[in-house]
Amino acid sequence: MKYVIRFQKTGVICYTSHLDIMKVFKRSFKRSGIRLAYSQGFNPHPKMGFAQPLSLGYESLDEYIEFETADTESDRTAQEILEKMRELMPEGLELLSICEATHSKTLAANTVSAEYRIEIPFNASGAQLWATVPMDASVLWHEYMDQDQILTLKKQKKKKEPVLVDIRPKIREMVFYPSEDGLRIDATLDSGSDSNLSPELVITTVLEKFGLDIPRSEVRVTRTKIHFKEHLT
Amino acid sequence: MIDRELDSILKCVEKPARYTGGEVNIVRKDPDSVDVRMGFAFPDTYEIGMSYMGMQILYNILNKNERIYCERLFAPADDMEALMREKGRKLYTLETFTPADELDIIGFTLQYEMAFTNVLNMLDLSGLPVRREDRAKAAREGAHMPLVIAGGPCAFNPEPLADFVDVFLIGDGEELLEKICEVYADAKADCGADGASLRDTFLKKIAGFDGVYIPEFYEVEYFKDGDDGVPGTIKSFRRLADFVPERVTRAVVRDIDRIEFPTHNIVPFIDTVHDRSVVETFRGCTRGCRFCQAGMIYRPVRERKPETIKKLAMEQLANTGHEELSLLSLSTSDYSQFEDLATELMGLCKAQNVALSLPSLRLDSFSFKVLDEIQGYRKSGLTFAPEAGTQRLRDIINKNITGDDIYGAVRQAVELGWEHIKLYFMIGLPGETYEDLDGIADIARSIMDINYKIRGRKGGRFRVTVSVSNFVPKAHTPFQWEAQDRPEDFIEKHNYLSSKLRIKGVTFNYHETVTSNLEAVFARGDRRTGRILEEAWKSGCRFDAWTEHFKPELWEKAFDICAEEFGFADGKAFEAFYNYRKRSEDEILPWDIINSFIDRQYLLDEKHRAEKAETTPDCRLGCNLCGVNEYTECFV
Repeated sequence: MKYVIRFQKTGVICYTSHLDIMKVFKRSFKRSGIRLAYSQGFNPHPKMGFAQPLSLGYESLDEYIEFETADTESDRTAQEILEKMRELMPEGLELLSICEATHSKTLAANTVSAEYRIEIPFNASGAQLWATVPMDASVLWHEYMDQDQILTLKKQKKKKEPVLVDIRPKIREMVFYPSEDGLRIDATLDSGSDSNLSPELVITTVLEKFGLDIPRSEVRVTRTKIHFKEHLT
Repeated sequence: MIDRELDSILKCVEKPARYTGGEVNIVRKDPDSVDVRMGFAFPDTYEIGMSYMGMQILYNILNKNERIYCERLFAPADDMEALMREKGRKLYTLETFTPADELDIIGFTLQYEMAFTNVLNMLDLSGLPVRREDRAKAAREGAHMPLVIAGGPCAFNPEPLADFVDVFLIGDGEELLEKICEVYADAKADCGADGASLRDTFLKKIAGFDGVYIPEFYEVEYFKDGDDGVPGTIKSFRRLADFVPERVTRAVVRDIDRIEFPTHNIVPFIDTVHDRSVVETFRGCTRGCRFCQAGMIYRPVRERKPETIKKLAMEQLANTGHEELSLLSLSTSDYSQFEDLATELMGLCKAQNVALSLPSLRLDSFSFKVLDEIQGYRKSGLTFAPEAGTQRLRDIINKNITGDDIYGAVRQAVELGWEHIKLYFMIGLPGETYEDLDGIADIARSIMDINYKIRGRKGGRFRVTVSVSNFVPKAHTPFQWEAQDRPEDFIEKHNYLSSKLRIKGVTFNYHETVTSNLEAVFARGDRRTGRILEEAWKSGCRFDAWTEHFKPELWEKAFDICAEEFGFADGKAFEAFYNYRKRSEDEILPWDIINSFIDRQYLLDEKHRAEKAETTPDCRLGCNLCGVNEYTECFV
């Protein structure tokens, strides 16, 4: 049986990498007694995968893991699997729901875009910005989104030298809000194997565009939604 | 619990999950509901500390006690330390993010000497004075000062840390540590908020316990020039109070089968050195290798029952989801019912898709059968530790393994398809000559030849790795009086071996020389060496066990500064005093304050037998009168 569990990753656990979270799931399955289906070959591993990787330090309200069990539905219903796994999850990993997988291919191949909430707390350089555009985030939106091209350096997988890329076509939607302590941006970006844009590049270009001298470590990112080609049931 | 500032710090450091806790099976308690809060401190990074079973054992025992909350502390890596210092944040526990200076007790485990600077650094990062006198003074003036305690194998020579640690716990910690915490709780109830009287009351109460060494109640005097003794050696070790013992008897757990062993191990999120379920099968060793401290200080052999081991293993696997199970002891195959146990565990693991790993097996035919079955076609390297290159030197160190043992096992291994043999040797052993080094090369070459003979001219991808470590004489062993090789001797021997081991298919590895010489200073150092530690730490030494962090030039400077303080010509002479001098048999040794149960005469007899290259048989075959059975019941 193939299933998809939707979950959240919030709090301190966002400092555990997605790969390590996979290990948490793997071990939780082992503890739960739910038997996973294994791949064939010399190095069998359980059949499971995330919809999309999540960068270290990001929180997420909408994550998906798919897995295949060696059990049948008569051994354990989907709801029973969810309940059992819930008990075993560490704090910060909250399992929201479960469904039977009906999509073709993998979740990763099914992903098209993702929404992120980017929170930038303002320091002095931010205060200066609000002074020039009195708390009107729509002005910022125009300034940023009306650019024909948004060029930034991107590290390439195999090459050493970063390459100049235009990220504008991969930004599907952006909303700027003034927030309590600075600026909040809701962005829908291409995500998945066809076209992918990391929020990191959006953060860099926004900070650059508006002359914000704010350390990256102050910026908080939350993935709020993943969109799929084929809807999950 | 993680505030904005910490959050942004964590975004800047490597492997932030080292600092966030929250792992599966951590113990959560309301700190206000307990009487004593203890921080179990491992003076190295999270990944190393979490691989150490002793921490899980004690964490489990202490937290089962309702009156105690035991949390964890690790040494932050340099990036994290820099940010903590910049922002003025103190070392905190991973369970509740409590600053370490708010705890009642901070307990360090001392697993290797090269972690000592980290002990000082962790105290400093906790916002505490590193010297115990300064903490005692602050407590007398009304400040809250956690009590700093330390245990583990390095506590068997506690003197290098005697100026920094309030109380050492010597020997098995399972019963002693819990008792100490309870006494502290009682003392706290009696004394209320009065920090000064709490410290005094508590120390007095525990002073008579087996395993408790409180350095402030002892004074050391050294021979001066013109005295009737080697200048610089210990003249006397004087008690300053009548309620402390003349010698501290080590604590021992008599029945380890009955003692709590963890079944809900904390499962780290990130990769650690060992991330697997582990059951200790027995403690102690009967072989009597003369260089081996563990073989002396953990006597006598005490076994867990096979049913207990199986039960613990299955519970651990069920509660952790681990993919691997390993057995822990000094010599796996010496377990009295090893064959039955291994066979049963193999079956149980196979049924659960769990890999079984059996370290330090004696390579007899049964072991091969087991290894062949658990490793299948993916065979890892096969390891031998002959320790010395000739029979003569192996007899000197009492390592009872013969050339025939090795070659016979290699033949079997090659036939069963192993392609990698790993060999461990030590150099700088007492009585070593260059013929013994030639012997190392001979063994490597003979193993290659065996492979050619069996597999034909090409011999496949067969490899031999020779790893050589530098002998460090350790306290409480028959070699505790011996001189260590000087750095230049080690270097010459490494070079000699490098040329001798230029054999096709043979790889040669060796250890950093300076670290081994430094380790030796603290392995047998007296109280004065604590000053060296302090100076080295102040100048920036940390993580000295890590090649990339080790700063020999700073250590050299520290030796120079302290040499002057204690009347030595220079740093080199100071180091030579500890390392390159053969101690006379009547010298008072810094660790003589500790009664490890091993009779001094036994150690001397063993030393003399070594000088004549005479072996001593395994004591399972008959008692060798080491002295342990005067204090506790011995195995067999």
